[in-house]
Amino acid sequence: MDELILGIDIGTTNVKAILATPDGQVVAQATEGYTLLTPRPGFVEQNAEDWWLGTARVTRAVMAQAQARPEQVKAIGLSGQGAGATLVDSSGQPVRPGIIWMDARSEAQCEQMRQRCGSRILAINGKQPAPYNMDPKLMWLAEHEPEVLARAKYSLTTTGYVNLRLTGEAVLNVSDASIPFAFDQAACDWSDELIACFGVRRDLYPRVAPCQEIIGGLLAEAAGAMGLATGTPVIAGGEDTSAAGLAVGVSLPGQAMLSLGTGGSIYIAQDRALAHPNLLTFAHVLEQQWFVGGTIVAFGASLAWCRDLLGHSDFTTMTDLAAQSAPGAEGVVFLPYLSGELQPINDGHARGVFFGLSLNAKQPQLIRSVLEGVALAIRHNIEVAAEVGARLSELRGVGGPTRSPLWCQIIADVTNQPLTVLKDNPGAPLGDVFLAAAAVGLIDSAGEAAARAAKVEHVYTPNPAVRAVYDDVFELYRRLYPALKPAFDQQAQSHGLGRIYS
Amino acid sequence: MTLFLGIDVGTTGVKAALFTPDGHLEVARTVEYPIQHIRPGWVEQQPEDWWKATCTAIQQALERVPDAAARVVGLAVSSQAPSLVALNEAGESIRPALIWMDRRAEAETSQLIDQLGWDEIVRITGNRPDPYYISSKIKWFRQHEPELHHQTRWYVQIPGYLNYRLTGEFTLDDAHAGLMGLRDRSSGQWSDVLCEACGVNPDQLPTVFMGHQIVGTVRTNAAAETGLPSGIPVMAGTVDGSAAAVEAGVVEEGVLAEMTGTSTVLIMPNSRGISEPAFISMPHALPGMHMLVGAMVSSGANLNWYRDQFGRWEIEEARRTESDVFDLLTKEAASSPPGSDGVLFLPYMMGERAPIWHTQARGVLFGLSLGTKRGAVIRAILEGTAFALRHNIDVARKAGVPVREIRSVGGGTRSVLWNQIKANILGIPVLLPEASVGAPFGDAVLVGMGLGYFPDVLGALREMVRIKTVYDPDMEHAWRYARMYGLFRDLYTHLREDFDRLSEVP
Repeated sequence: MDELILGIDIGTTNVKAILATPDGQVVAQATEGYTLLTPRPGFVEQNAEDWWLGTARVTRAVMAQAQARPEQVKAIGLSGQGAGATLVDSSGQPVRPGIIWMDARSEAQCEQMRQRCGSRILAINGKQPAPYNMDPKLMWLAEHEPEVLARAKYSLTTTGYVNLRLTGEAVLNVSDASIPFAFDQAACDWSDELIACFGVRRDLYPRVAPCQEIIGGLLAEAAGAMGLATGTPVIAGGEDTSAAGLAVGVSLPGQAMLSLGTGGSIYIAQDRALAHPNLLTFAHVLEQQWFVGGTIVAFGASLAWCRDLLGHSDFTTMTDLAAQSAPGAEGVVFLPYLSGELQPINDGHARGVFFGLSLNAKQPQLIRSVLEGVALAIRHNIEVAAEVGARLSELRGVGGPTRSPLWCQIIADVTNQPLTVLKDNPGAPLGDVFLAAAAVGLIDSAGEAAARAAKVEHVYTPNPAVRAVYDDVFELYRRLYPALKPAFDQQAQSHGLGRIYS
Repeated sequence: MTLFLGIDVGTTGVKAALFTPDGHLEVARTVEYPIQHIRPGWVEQQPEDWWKATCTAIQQALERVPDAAARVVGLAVSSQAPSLVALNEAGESIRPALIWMDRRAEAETSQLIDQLGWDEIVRITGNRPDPYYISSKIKWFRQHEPELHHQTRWYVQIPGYLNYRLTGEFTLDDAHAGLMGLRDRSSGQWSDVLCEACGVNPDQLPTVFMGHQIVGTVRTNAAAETGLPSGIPVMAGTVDGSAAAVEAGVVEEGVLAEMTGTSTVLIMPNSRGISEPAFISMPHALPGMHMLVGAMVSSGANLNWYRDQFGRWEIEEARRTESDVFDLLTKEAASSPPGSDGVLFLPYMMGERAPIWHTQARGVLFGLSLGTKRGAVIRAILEGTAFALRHNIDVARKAGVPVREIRSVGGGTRSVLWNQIKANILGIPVLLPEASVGAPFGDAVLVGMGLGYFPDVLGALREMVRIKTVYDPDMEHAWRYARMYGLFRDLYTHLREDFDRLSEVP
C-alpha cells in the first residue's frame, strides 16, 4: 500500500476520520464524540480544544487500523460544521469557548442587521440574517463581551481553528467563508461594505483561501500528537455540507445532494450564487460552484412520529401498507411541519396537518400521505429555487430513508426528477480526501474522481403516469401553508397565553 | 291496567312498544326489513314490507304482556321522514318508496331552484331546496315515470300509509306534512306554486291532522293481521325525531336534544316556527311547538375511524381484558389536557350538512407536533365534534332559538369525558335522560294526549322523563375552549376553497 490521504470531518457531535487511497478506496475509519456546552437556554458552545484532541485521536486510530506509516499520508483535508465563531488571540489560543451554529443568542443582532442593511445582505450574500451565523455572534460579543473580543485576532470556523493548530495558518476556505453574511458571493471575498454595516472589526475576518489550496505543512507538535510526518501538506478544506455533496458525487451544476435522516436537506449545485430570501446559498468545495437549497426539519422524524401514532413497530410494515394506496393518498395531504420548518417557509410557528381526511382514509392512505408530504417539502424547495433560476437535473440521495424503495420512488415521482441512491457513502471525510488528493496532484480532478467513486445502489426514474396527480397535489400543498399561516400564528399566540394562565 | 302502543318505523326496522299511562315500558319488539340500494344515491323500501313487519312486531309485543290485546286503548305511528309513497285509488302502492336517503332528484332540485329561486323556496317552505324533500322527488317521478305518476291518487307518508292499512282512512300527520317541501309555512296551506312546479294536485295530498288527533279506528281485517282489538283509535302520528325528542323531555323552549350515534341529530324546539336555512324547520310532535333539526354527517363515526386506523393496541387490549375499547380510548384522551396540546380537528370526514352544507369538506387534523401523542388526537376528535355542535347551536341562537340546556341521548353518551367536553365547549349543562326505547315513547304520549289522559302534557312529561346525570360546564375550561372555538371556525374558513380544489384532484 503506497499513497494515502487523510480526510477528517469535525461535526457538531463527533469527529470522523477516514484514511483512503487518492481515488477514494476507504482503508480505515474512526469516530469520536464530544459534548455540547449549554451555559444558558439558547446558548450552545463547544471547547475548541475538544475538536483538536478528537482530531488527533481519530487520526491515530485510523493510522493504527490501517497499520500505515506516517510517510504514506500524502495530504490532509479537513471539513467541519460551519457558521460558528471561534475567536483566537495572536498566539492562536481560543479566547473563549467556540459559539456554534446551533446557538440562538443573537436574534436581536439579526434584527439590527435586517434594519440596517437587510436588502444589501440579500443582494451581496444571498441570505437573510438569522442567529446561526458567525457575524451576528460577533455583534453579540461586541455588545456583551467587548473585552474578550478585544483580545481576539481572528474569528474562525471549526475547520479554520483545527487547521491553525495543524499549520499555524489562520485562513477560511471558500465554502466556510461563503456562509457568513459578510461574504460577497460574486467577488468571492469579504464585503467591506457589509462588515462596516455590522460594526464588526474588519480584521477579525481571516484570509479566504480556495478549498484545494495547500495552506501549509503539518507542524512538528501537531505531527507528534497525530502520529504523522512533519510537513505533511494540509489543504484549506471545506464546510461539511459541501464536502458531503462532493462525496456523493455532486460535481456538476444541476446535480443536487439529498441528504435524508431525521431531518432532510436538498442542496442544488449551480454555476453561480443564486439568492432567494427563503433559501440558503453557499459555495461548493469545487471552484465556481455554489449550492442553493434548504433543510426540512422533520423528514424521517415525520414517519417515526406516524409510526408511534399508528402503533407500529417497524418501517417495512408501514411502507408495505403505504404501497396499497394510490398516488396522492386518495386525497389526504400531510404538511410535515411537526417541529416548525426551516426552508422554504422559515416558520417556527408552523405545525403538522393532515388535510382531506375521510372515513375512507385508512392506514395505507395516512402513511402514504406522510411519505408524500416530506417529498412535497423537497419539491417546494426545488420550485422556490427554480424561481431564482436554479436548474436541476438529478437528485443524489443518501441516508436512512433512501433504504425504502417506495419512498425513493415517491420522491422521484413527486419531484419529477431521477433519484440516484448511493450506498455505503462515508460522507464529508471522503469529499475531503478528493480535495486533498487533487491538491497534491495525485488525481486530476476532485469532482471527476468523486463522480467515479460514488457507488450507485439504484436509480429511480419518475413515472410519467403519476405526474399529473402529483402536480395537482403539489399545487394544493403549496396553497395550504399560506391559507393556514394565520391559524398557525393564532395558535402559537393562544398556546402561549394558555400556558401563562393555567 | 291500560296500555298505549307506540310504533316507530325506522330505516332498518320497526319497533313496537307497549307502555302504561305513567310512561313505564312493558315491552318493545323490533322486526327488520330490507333496504334496497338500487344504485348510488337511489334508496328504496317496499311499503308492504313496512306493513308486514309492523304486524309481526305488534303481535310479538302483545304476546309478551299478559292480557295485552284487551288492555291496549290506542296507538300512534312515527317514522323515518320523508318518503315518496304513491298510492292508487285502491290504496295500493304504485312503486317502491323513495326513502329519505334517496338523492336521485339532484337535477330536479336544480330545476326547481331555477324555476322559483332558492330564496323564494326558503321563504315559502322554511327549508332549503334539497333532493331530501318530497317536492323534488315528485318532480323526478313525473319526469322519469310519467305513467306511474299519472296513476297516482294519493301521496302519503309512512304513518299515513300504515294508518290507512289500519283504519282505511287516507291522512297526513302535521310533522311529515311540514317536511314535504310543498307547504306554505305562513298560511299552513299547500303552496300552489310549488305543487304546480312539482306536478302535484293538492287533492292528492290527504287531510293533515295534528299528531295526537284520532284519524280512525282499527278495522276488522287489520285487527286480524295485527292481533289488535278492532275499533281502538289510531292517532295521526309524527316524525321519528319529534317522537324521540319527547322521550328526552325536549318539549319546551330552551331545552335542546342531541342524538349521537355514528352521526348526530340536533333538535332545537321553539314556539315561533323559526326558519333558518342551515337547518330543517318542521313542526314538533306536540301542538304549538316547532323545531329546527340539524344533521351532522359524521360524529361517532369519527371515533370509530380512529379506533380502526390508530387503535390496534386498544382493540387488542380490550380483547385481552374483556373491557370496552371506547373506555380505553377515552381514558387515553383524558390523559391529554383540554385543548389537546394544540391539536384541532375538523370533523367533516364525509362532507357536512348542518350548518355549513359543504359536501366537499373533509376532515383535518391541525397543529400536530413531534410531541403529539395518541391521547391528544383522540381528545381532539371528541373536542372537534363538540365544536361542530356548538357551531350549529350558535347559528340557531342567532336565528332566535332559546338555548338553556341540552339533553344527550344515543351511544355517544357512554363516554363521560365526551359528555363533560360537550358541556364545557357548549357552555350549557348537558343532561342525560333515562331514555330506553326512543321514538315509541313519544308515540305513546301522543296516544295518551289523543285519548285525554294528559290534560297537562308538559306536567305529565316532567313526571315521566327522569334525568340520570347532569354535566355542568366547568367555566375555566369553557373560557379556554371559547378561544379555541374561534380558531376552529377560522380554520374552516381558511380551508373552504381548498376543499373544493381537493375534490377536483383526480
